This record gives sequence, structure tokens and C-alpha cells, in this order.
Amino acid sequence: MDPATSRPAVVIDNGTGYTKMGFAGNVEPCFIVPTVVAVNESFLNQSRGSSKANWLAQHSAGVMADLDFFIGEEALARSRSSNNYNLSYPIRHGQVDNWDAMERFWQQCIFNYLRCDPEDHYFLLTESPLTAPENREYTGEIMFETFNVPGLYIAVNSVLALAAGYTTSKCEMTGVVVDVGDGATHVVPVADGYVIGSSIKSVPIAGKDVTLFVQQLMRERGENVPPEDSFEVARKVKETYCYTCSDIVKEFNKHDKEPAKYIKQWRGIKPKTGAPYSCDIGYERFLGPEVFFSPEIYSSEFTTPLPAVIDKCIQSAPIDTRRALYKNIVLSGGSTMFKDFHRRLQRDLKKIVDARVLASEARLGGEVKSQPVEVNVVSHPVQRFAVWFGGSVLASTPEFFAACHTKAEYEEYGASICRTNPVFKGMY
Amino acid sequence: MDTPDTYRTDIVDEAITFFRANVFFRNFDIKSSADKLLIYLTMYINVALKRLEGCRTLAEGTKAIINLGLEKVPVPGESGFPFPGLFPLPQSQQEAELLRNYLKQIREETSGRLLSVAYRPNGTPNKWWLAFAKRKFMNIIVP
Ligand SMILES: Nc1ncnc2c1ncn2[C@@H]1O[C@H](COP(=O)(O)OP(=O)(O)O)[C@@H](O)[C@H]1O
Ligand SMILES: [Mg+2]
Repeated sequence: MDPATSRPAVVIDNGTGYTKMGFAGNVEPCFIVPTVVAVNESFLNQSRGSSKANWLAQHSAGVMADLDFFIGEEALARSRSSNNYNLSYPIRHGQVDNWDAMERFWQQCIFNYLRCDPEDHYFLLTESPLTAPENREYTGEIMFETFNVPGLYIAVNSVLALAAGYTTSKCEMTGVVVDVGDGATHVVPVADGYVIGSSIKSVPIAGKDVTLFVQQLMRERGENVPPEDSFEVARKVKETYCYTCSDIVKEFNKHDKEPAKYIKQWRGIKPKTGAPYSCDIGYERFLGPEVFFSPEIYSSEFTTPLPAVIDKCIQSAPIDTRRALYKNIVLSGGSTMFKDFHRRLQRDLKKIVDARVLASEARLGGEVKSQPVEVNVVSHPVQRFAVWFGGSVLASTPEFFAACHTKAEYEEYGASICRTNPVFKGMY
Repeated sequence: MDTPDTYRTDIVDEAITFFRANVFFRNFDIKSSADKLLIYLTMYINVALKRLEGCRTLAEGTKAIINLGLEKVPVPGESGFPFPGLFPLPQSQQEAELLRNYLKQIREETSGRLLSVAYRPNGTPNKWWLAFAKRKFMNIIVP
């Protein structure tokens, strides 16, 4: 038997904004780091610039550039403190956009963060439901050839999020996953573990937009935040203080009546001078998350509220799945963490559904009463990294190892085997 | 648009109460002439706030608002009236003047209410209102 199957599998969920990585069987990822790489390009430029450059100098410059790079927070810190580092974001809109950077990123995840030998562990990686099969081949090539992993499974992130929802509540592999990450929001219906591809809906508004909106509101009020720091401050303010309200007009009044309760203070240190500063946090606390429910307050291009998008998604799915889909709407991703987010979503979606039922009853002359549609938005404790958690659970079942593609299979059949990854028992 | 005074106070209150929410929106479900007036007043509050920006005391703010009140108030059909097609055009010069007077009065009332929220009782500016001077209601470029 392959000894690697007795060791915990490595589970990496590469998000557009953040990568969640750790070992199967754990309840939390070991690291959550921004999906970004900083490469020192100065070596390359030096050798190119000098006329006396011989092949050795060029070669060693290449080697240095290969070694001198950072990922995550470290990458961001390097690029802030030195002009020699160039940042690249390997994933855009859920798809790998720069394979070279992606490979470097994985390299550091494995050797510097998880500190494991990739030849000793099976790997579970994630992809968006919109990923093209060719991309799975590239991933397979890098994993099997560069890192020499013994086995690989590439899971659809929404399916993992659904699995995370049921392990914490009930056993269902039919439902809608509402994944709100940093750069994109996806609404993905799943029936019996398979994504209903034609009904997937995307929304161009996600966590980064909330941060930008919070930043803009604080700037408009003239809050005293150093400009070079304002995006990071806005992100932290968002993650710490934002919440979902039920009615923004009422919320403005609540803030006015009880400022001591609702207005928060932010304290920071100016990066350039080291001087402390403080500022007020107010209406952005509820206006930030409101962008999902009233997108027109933030964007003139996209104006459909998230609950309406979910409704459209379910209405476009096969009719015999709809009731089950409304009943199990599972949240996933960091930007679903706002307090009361699931309640507002549930209330607004229920309103849409009830209005439709009423309208159709009225059309039928009020003689036929249709069965009420149960709308259920499921919130659970591991929502923030639901995809990773679902992966951790599935990769710790014995069926996982059987569902993986192995190194031997890769060598025999080639990268094309990575195109398909079967739904396996344990997902049910 | 000539309406009882109580109705007018209500609509001014409503415009103030809803302003900070409504100023973010672009699409309104307009059901009545009261809804149209609300949109007009939201625009006016936005204009008035822009005049107040930079006025560091209630006294300065009051002066700026008085100056704004001296400016000619355009009515539907005249250049400078912001919402083409939203209001019916006055049918005669006399009707236009009546409407102008009405708008002038309701703007004045709104200004009074606005000054009382945009400045604190001690006369200092209230950033929780003045911040909204930076907003551009329905993308209208304010003169
Ligand atoms: N407690 C929180 N409240 C609100 N937003 C959060 C919270 N924690 C993280 N986020 C936001 O969630 C986003 C990251 O979510 P994630 O699901 O990891 O994204 P992705 O998978 O697209 O990279 C970021 O915008 C981050 O600021
Ligand atoms: Mg994600």
C-alpha cells in the first residue's frame, strides 16, 4: 500500500484573494495568506543592462530571481519597503492567470508554510466551477512533475462548500452555494453532488468592493487616515465592524440617537512617522454590506440584488430540483461573515418567492392554493473557509484516496486524466 | 402642487429623514407627485450641502444658505432644472411663477431643517451630515 495514504492529505484552496492551506482532518487551515507573489526582478534587470554580462551572470541572475521571491503578507511587505519587487496575482476572477507565479506560490506554500515534502502527501486542490478542463491539466502537470506528488484530486470549490454545510448540519448534496469571496461572488446550484453548470450566476461585487466602498465613505467624511494605509484600514474596519442591517433609513436614525453605541473608533499608527492617529467609524458599518442587497448604491453597471440573483439561479434550474434548492442555500467565503447576512438574505429571498406564489395564485383565480416554498439560508461556523473545511473532511475519508489520480496513472495516461475528478462516496 | 402646509412640513421632514439613504440611489419607483417632490428635495439638499461644505460655523453656513436662496429657482422647462420629463411643464407664465414660488418656499423650509441637522447646537459642523456633500445624487452635476 502507498504509505502516503496513511499521512494526512494536503488541502489547499487557492482563492482569488486568499489562499487557505492545511492538512486534511483539521478543523481550520494552518494558514490563510493573500494569493500574491513578489519576485525580485532587479537581478534580471541588472544582467540585462550590463554590456559585459556573460552567460554565467545571466544564469545566476535567473537563479537568484528564482530564489528571491515571497508570497502572502510577506510579499506585500516586501513590495512596500522596496522597489525591486514586482507583485503578481496568479489568480484572477477565480481562474489561474499566471502559471509561473502560481507554481512559485505553491512552492512556498509547500516548503515554507506547510513545511512538508510533497512526495509524502496526497493533494486536494480546488477550482472554480467555471474552470476550463485544460487548466486542470496544467495543474496536474505542475503537481506531478514539479512537485512529484503521489496523488491529486481537484475539487470544485462549491461542492466542497456544500459538503462543509452538511457535515455541520444535515446530510444534503443538493443545494445552492452562495460563495462571496474577495473578487467575485458565485451562486452555484448543485444537485446530488453535481454542479448544474448552465444555471451558475456570477455577480461582479464581492469583498474587495465592500472594502473600496468603506474606504470611499471614510474619505468622503474626511476621516484622518494616512492615504497609503487607507485600503488596509478599510479592510480591517470592514472585517471588524461591518454588519448587515434590515433597513438603512432606520439604521441612520439608530446611529444618530445612540452614537455612543454605534460609532466606533479606529486607532492606528502612521506608517511614515510612527505617530498614532484615530478616527471614527460610522455609517460604513452597515452601508458596506448593503452593496450586496442594493448594489446601485455602489455600482451603476450592476444593479441586481444578491437575493434576486439567487432566485434567478434557482428558477433557471430543472423544475424538479427547485424546491430542494430553495431549502438548502449554503453560505461560503469570507464576505458572508457580516453579522446577520444570512437573515437578510433569507428575508429578502422569501419576499421574492412569496410574491411569485401570490401572483400565480391570483392568476389561477384564487381557487388553487399552492404548497408554500420553504426558503432556508444555512449559516454555519466554518463559513469563512467552508471550501477548505469541506476539502479537509472529504480528504480524510478512505474513499478520497481511491478517487485521486495517482502518479502512476499520470505517467501511464498523461495529464488528460486530470480533466475529470469523480464525485465520490463520502460526499453523501 | 399647491398643497396644505402640514403636508409640506411632512414632505420636508421625509426628505431630510430619507436623504442620507436616498442620495445613494439612482432608480426610484415613482408612484405619486409626492414621490417626485421627494426626489426634487433630495437634489436640493445635496446642492445645499455642497454650499455648506467648508462653512466652519452655523453663522457662515446660514449666510451661504441665504445666498443660495437669492438665486433664481428654475422650474420644469427652464435650463438648470435637473430632471427632464419628471414634472409636467407649466402651461403658462403665471403657472410657472406660481410653481417657482412654491419651490422657493419649500426649499427655504428644507434649508432651515437642514441647518439644524448639519450643525450641532454649539454651531460646529456635523460631519455625519456634511460628508454627504461629496455625493452626487443621480449623477447630477451641481452648479
Ligand atoms: N470577518 C469578516 N467579515 C467580513 N469580511 C471578511 C471577514 N473575514 C474575511 N473577510 C473578507 O473575505 C474576503 C476573502 O474571502 P475568501 O472567501 O477567502 O475569498 P477568495 O476565496 O475569493 O480569495 C476578503 O475580502 C476579506 O476581507
Ligand atoms: Mg474562495
